[in-house]
Amino acid sequence: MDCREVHDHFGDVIDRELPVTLRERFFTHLRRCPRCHIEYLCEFVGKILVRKHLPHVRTPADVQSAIIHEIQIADPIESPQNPWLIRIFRRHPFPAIATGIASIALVLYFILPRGTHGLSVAGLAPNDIIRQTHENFMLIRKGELTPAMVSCERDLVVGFFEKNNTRFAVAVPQMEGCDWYGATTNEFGDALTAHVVYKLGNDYLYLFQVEKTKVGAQATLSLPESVLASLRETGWYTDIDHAECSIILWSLNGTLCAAASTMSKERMLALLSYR
Amino acid sequence: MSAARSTLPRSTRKKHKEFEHEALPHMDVLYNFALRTTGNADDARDLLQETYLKAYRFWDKYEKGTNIRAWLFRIMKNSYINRYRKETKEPDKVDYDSVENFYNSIRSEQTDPNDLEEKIFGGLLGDEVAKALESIPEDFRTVVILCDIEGLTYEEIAEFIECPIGTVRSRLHRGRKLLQAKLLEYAKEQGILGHD
Repeated sequence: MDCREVHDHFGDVIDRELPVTLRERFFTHLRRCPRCHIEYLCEFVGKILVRKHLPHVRTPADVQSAIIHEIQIADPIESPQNPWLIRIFRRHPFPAIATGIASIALVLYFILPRGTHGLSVAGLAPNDIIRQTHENFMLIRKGELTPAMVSCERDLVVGFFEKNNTRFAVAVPQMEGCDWYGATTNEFGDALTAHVVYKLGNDYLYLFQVEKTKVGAQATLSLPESVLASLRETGWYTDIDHAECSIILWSLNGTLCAAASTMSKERMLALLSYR
Repeated sequence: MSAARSTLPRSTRKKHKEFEHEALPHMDVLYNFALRTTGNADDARDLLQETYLKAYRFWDKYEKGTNIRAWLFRIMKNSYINRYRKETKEPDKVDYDSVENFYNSIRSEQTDPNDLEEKIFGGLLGDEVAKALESIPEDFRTVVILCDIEGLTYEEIAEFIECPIGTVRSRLHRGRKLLQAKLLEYAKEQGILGHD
């Protein structure tokens, strides 16, 4: 191999693309020719410098989330087709409305836990879970709080919590028709908190979760006594009087969950009744 | 808020899932390329976003089973050209004299070639390497990024840029030479190397 041929193969050697049959001849020349040796090393060092100073980086989580969000809204949203319902309303509007109101009242009577209250968020302690849930949900809606991971697959969200080694059972209910799931974890004092976001059409549903032992009068996170009493008695608490969202709390398998959403409380309960 | 929410049609949901499975796993490669090509995180973000939106819109044009990474890359490249490249630059000339002098100086000073990186370029910062990379013409920069940062093989790069492997080889060689000349300039400015 002469100097010219060796020069032509610099890149092949550096990038491990040189056929084995040529390697010996290439390096034999380099050993004999200091000039080619130096030039080869300079080209090699160039590659090392690029790799060292410009490492491969991961896409920031907020960029990832923004792209997934853009894709979700890139398609036109369709309203569900309910021709039979529309027909009934057109033909017999008053009986239909009356029946509807009566049905809703009946459903509410059965599903509303007796401990339902409406609490003013401003009056709650800063470490109160209802307050935290409300504030986080507002930030999510404004796009100021973005999940660390976003996926259309529920299993990937479950895997995310497993990978992050959350020490308590994080509930990730499967939701039919969910456009995407978002997830993140963070710490509040000594309490690890898990957060799940569901995007369902035009609505967001947010779940705040923490180990139950971290909640109480002397614990890191708090709840008003009336809420704790309701949870003890019925396992549920619904907080529906916020202008911007409804909040529902429940406890399951040692985890305390708080859900916030702009959707109706009935729908939230239906979606969250995963037990 | 109405209880009967608006929903995405089933076909759209299927498209989302397919897209998420096939296209989204390549986001890091594209982001890195965008970052090193545009030179800043904001532009990289915009370029990546534009690429994925276009890819999603034209998802039906993607032939299943073909190289999705190369397809996405070409969308990004076209977006970059439309968005950022206002005019085609004349390829820079390599200052061969400067590189030549450098080789001679190493020989005369009997610098151990194995210590080259530390002795000559050890004082260079990441910003300077990034600036040097940005300064080289786009065609050369593209192959250097794909090869040296992304670790793609010549064959993959050839598929990405739709050129024969021989072209990849020559662009890489020339790109690295240009980069070397630029880095030498910076090393001289810093006084690591003596001026001619």
